[in-house]
Amino acid sequence: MKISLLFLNESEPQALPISQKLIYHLSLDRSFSRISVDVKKREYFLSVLSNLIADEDTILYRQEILKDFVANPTLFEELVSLSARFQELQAAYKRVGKDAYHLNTTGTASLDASKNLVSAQALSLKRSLLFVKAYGDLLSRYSLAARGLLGFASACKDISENAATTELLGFCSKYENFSATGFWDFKFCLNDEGRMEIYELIDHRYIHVIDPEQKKKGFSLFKRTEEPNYPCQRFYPANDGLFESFAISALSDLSALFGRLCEQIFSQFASLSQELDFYGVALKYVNELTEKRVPICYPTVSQKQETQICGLYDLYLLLSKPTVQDVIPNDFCLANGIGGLLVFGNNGNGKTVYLRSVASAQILAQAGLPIPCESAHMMLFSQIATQFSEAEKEFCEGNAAGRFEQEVRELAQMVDTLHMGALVFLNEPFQSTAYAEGAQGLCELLRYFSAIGIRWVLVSHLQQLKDAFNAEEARLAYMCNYRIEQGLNR
Amino acid sequence: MKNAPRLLRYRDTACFPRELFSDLQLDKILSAHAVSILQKPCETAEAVRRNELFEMLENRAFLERVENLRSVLTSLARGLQLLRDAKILLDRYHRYAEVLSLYVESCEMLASMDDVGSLFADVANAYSTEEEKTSLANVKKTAQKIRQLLEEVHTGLLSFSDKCWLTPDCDAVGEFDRICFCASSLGFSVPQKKRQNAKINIAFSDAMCHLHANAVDEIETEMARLADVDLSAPVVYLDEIKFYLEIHSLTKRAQEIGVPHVFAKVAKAPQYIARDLYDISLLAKKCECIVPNDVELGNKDPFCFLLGANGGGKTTYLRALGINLLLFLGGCPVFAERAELYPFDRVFAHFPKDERFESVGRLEEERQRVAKMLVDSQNQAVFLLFNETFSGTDETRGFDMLKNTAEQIARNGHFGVFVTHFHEVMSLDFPVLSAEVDLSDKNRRTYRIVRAKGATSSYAADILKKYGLDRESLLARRHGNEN
Repeated sequence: MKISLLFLNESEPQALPISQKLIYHLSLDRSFSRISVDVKKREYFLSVLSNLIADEDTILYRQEILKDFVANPTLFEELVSLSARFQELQAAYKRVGKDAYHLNTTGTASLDASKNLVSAQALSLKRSLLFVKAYGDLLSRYSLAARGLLGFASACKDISENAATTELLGFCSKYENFSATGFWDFKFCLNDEGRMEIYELIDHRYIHVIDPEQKKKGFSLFKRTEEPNYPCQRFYPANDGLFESFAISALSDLSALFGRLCEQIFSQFASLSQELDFYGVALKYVNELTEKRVPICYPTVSQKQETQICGLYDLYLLLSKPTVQDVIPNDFCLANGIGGLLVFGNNGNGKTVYLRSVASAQILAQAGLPIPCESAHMMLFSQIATQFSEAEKEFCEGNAAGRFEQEVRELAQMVDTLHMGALVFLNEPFQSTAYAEGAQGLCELLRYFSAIGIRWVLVSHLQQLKDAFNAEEARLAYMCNYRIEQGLNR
Repeated sequence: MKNAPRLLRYRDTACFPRELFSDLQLDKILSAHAVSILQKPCETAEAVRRNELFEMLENRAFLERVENLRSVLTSLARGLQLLRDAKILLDRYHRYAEVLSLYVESCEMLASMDDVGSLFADVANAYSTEEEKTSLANVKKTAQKIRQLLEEVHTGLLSFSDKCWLTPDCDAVGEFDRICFCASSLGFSVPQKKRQNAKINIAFSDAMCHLHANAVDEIETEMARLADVDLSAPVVYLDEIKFYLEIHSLTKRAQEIGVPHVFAKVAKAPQYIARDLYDISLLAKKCECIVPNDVELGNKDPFCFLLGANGGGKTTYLRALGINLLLFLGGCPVFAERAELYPFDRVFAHFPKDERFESVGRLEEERQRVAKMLVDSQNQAVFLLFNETFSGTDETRGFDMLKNTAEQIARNGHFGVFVTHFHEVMSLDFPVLSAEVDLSDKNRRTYRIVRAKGATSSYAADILKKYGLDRESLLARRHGNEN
């Protein structure tokens, strides 16, 4: 079974991934670049955000793990350190695997090379088993509540405390120090055609040979006890390399076996190191907000198709403004049965920031992360999309469309790809056409979204839209001095 | 077995030349082995028995039995070869045991074939005599005994230290299996052990034989007991069975594209009458639609000319006649809806040869070949196939030679078809066939051969146009180059 700190089940019911453009539109990349300077870890973190989760259990699973890490920061550090060493082992194993592959495919394996391979693979298996034990020991030292971490500890103990593991470690030690000296014992089996079919290493204890020559030479004053008579035959192997090739094959079987077992252990823990990177960035995010004394909240999931967030801060502003007081929190409400929210307001009053804060909160919440707000009770969406007005695309061959046409094209793509259960954030679309026509077009589009069960939030200055929807189709809101006023007077 | 009945017997007359099969492209769809059998025609009574066997093969159950028999005989032939080549003692014993088992299996199968046509019934009877049964039981018993003895020498342990020792296996468990057991109990999946199939060497074989000296002695004794048994006897049927199966498989291939086959009736007087006759050699070209044609050559019109458009199917028609006649003479089914053919003594074909003649020109070579054909045909029931003979000279001379040949053929009462582009044959007193085209559809070839009603055309312009060599295309090309 694969150990995962991000996913509850191996076949996780995933929502559709969100586009990288959305991360860009919401400035999530810029926000987290202020939190984590490690580009690789940050990119992985953002990729997890992009892989939208719409499963409540998985979201809670992540929340629990993050809470345990917040409560036990040393556990997290030790896990990261152990995982880093485990990864080094994996990298070393891969190098050995490449050699094995090369030797096997080119048929150039010598007996010595084969022995070295067996030793290396046995050592890798031994070390990987010891790592599993170390993971289990580490986790058992802490008082944990998260299902993910408890399951991880239990999976490790299942392996490390099994008697078969001890025996397996014994085999690893034996072949780790495997050398050319000493005994070489094999069992063979010919097939019905009299050809060598199986040739494998056996333990020396199975060999019973009484050398007739030694027996003759032996002299003793004492009476010998009766020795059992084992049939045996001296064998003078021809110098044709035949038995060397059989031995190479037997060793190759063993190294393949050790290799296969290693791979299975590695694959069980394969994602652990990267997943810890996600939690590493998440911990920094929590710590950053805590240091700024921003309220943080692990959202609860609404089953009633409604979202209610109180005192929501825009993450990017929080991280870029000197103090929290420079950022004004706002509420967001999308009630059950309402198709969408229309946000109007004068220029520079914070419409786009509001849209960004709501969309970011939704994505962070669906990644199992807390959000900067007083409280949050949120519904989950299977798809999230944004459409932000952009500069005209590159002037290049094949792109004859103007800005308006570009927007229309993008919206058309959205219509093609979005399904019921999606959430769309639209930021001032259709600025570059006649207002009435733009409004008319948008109105039709939003009605289409509502009709097929796509919820939406639109920021616009097209006043014609105010009268286009009744109270059940959409709620209106107005941004004034960075504060949202819901239920705007028509 | 002495005087064992066979599945193929031939006429005493001369063989058909290999060249005939190449001219008709029959060697493109049949193996050299099958062609060599068809080169030797069979008597009418034998043909009837072959027909019966081919008919039995239409039955899936019988076919499977014959195919199994072929497979076992093939293995026996291979086993015998390996036994002859075996230099190592242990290898020889194993090969011998294998051959014995295959021999027993072959004989038993042959003895059980009494319900697969009269040819197989004869063979089955020969293999079912009391003497044969007793001999076979003896071989079977020996085979079993040798197998048992060999089991003893199949496993063992080898120890390499300062000296190398070979000992019997006392239920030793390999390290691989022991590790797999541990890993499986932890829930890991484990790989399969590699199965080798490597030859052993003399040193190992000798050591094993010494270790198991008693078993080896017994094997030698058992082998000596069967010294008089001819273990290769059943293999004589292998090539014969292969022939039947190959022709059967050809009929199946043809059936897949809707070409039927039939067992032709044997006519008492010379004639070639067939309804919807197919040129099966087109299978080699992977044609999926073969157009059939009727043939009616009897006492009244034994010989005719065939004219018509290039690419209209004249040569195909000629091949259809020749191939099906050769199949008929070999006791095989023919590819037609219906056919009644006479078992002609000889079949001759005159097709253009590659121009590599050493002492004479093309025309002279053709003339000599025709002359020889006509001499060889005297006083025999002969079927002649000519494909554009004498086309390598001017029209007058070529036509004269053609006319002389045709008259000579008529005098001798030979049967045949002469494909030509000499339209003057319309004036001779011979029937003329023509490859039909559809004038209303851009001269589309129908590949139908019909009785010629008037002047015919070769429609060469169509082909020239298709390849851009007609007048308009060449003019357009010229203008294009100029511009």
